[in-house]
Amino acid sequence: MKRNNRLIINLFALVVVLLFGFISILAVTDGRSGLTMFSADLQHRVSYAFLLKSVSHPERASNATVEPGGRDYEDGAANVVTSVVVDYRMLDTFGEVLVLFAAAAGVGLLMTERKRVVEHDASIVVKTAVPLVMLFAIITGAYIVLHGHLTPGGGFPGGAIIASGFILQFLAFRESPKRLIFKILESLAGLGILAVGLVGLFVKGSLFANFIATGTLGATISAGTVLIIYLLIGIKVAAELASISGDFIGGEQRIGG
Amino acid sequence: MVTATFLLSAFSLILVGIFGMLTRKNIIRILLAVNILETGVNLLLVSFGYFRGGKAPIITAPISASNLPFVDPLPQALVLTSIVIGLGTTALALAITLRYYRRRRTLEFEPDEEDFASVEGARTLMRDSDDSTSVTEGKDLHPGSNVPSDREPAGAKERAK
Amino acid sequence: MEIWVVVLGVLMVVGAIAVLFQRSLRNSIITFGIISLMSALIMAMMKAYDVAITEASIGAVLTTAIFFWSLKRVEEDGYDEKK
Repeated sequence: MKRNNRLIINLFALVVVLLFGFISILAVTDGRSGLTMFSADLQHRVSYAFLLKSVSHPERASNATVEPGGRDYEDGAANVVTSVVVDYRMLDTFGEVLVLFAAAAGVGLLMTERKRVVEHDASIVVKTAVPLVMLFAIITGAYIVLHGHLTPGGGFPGGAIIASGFILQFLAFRESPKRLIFKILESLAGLGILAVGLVGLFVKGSLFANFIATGTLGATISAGTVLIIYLLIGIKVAAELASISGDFIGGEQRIGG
Repeated sequence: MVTATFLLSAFSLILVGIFGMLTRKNIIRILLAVNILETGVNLLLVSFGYFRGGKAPIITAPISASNLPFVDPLPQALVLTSIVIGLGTTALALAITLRYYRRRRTLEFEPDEEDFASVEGARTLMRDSDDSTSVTEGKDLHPGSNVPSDREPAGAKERAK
Repeated sequence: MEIWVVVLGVLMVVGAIAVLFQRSLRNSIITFGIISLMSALIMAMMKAYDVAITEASIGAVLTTAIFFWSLKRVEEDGYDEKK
């Protein structure tokens, strides 16, 4: 009876999935009105305005040029994906910051306590190598965060790499992984992001507007609030992921850093 | 041909993820299938913006309206958000799974007699359930009501120190 | 160059089916980590470098690690998957 049930469930799921796949492929490759999925060139897409940095004045797009070394564009980041994520669609990124905060709070609230198990210490090789590897991990993570507007990367992968450095320390030295300083740092960084948005609201009239003059495209200090916001996001994501991992690894709560 | 390969492999991952969500019993396997589904969706979104012979959207040379050799940067921005949210959702779901295992002693997703018994039978089962695995366990402070018997009040007191 | 795309795509789909049908949970989680890493490679082939480094550092490293920690906790509490 059990075996028969499993077979029926598997067959039914297979039929549903194949039906869904068939209908989706039919719907996507439908070319009856002359337009297929790939008819739109980059000229006809929304990213046309994002690439030429002319979102507020779209009539200037057809004769705009963007070059490294030019000054005072609408958004001075050389990495176009960063300018979309942090400047043009910052409200979505703020929503994502909120979702991560809710997940970290939920994990901290719902986590169970571990039994007192006897754990062996890590070997001498691990204990010697981990401080060195942690140094390189934190430096690499900080580099990726700080150069988010020039090279691929940004606050999210940089924060994850910094958190990996701290996770190595939790696992190798058995120090208490639940620290209050991570949660304080995360909350302060979140408040900082909101403060930058509110300053933009009062200075320029819309939330998260770019109120610092964007300098030269391609310089290290450029692109106004993009650098500040990505720095704060990097700190926040690093503290959050380290605190989530600390809750999963388990241990006693330690008050104070 | 290359674009079609990207699209087809991403779509197949979505189909495998849906199949896994529908048929598996173990909760951790269901969560793995959800993660495969999310990976597939992210791949599909990024492959919608790929042009053959396009370059990465970083400005290193002067560009103008007739000279745009880039791939589409907008789906990449959306997928960046989606990957991080997938991690947050998975972490919260695994925390709930750990609680579920403490309570039910099994990681399978089947209903057992507790769900079908009467309310009085369920109360008896909950009061007698053996939750003695954690050291700082508090007693069942509300016998007779439907409050779960994990030591939540003791944990809240310890956290507020 | 095109042959590598096809090979990676086929390997990803085979690995995804293997995740669901493997007997031991530990093997499933390891295979899922491999799928995440291959997906990061394919994103780098699509010239989406931001997304590739984010998926490699968050999907392939942190999600797999979180699955392993929760599996270790559940086994400490007495979970035996051969029952």
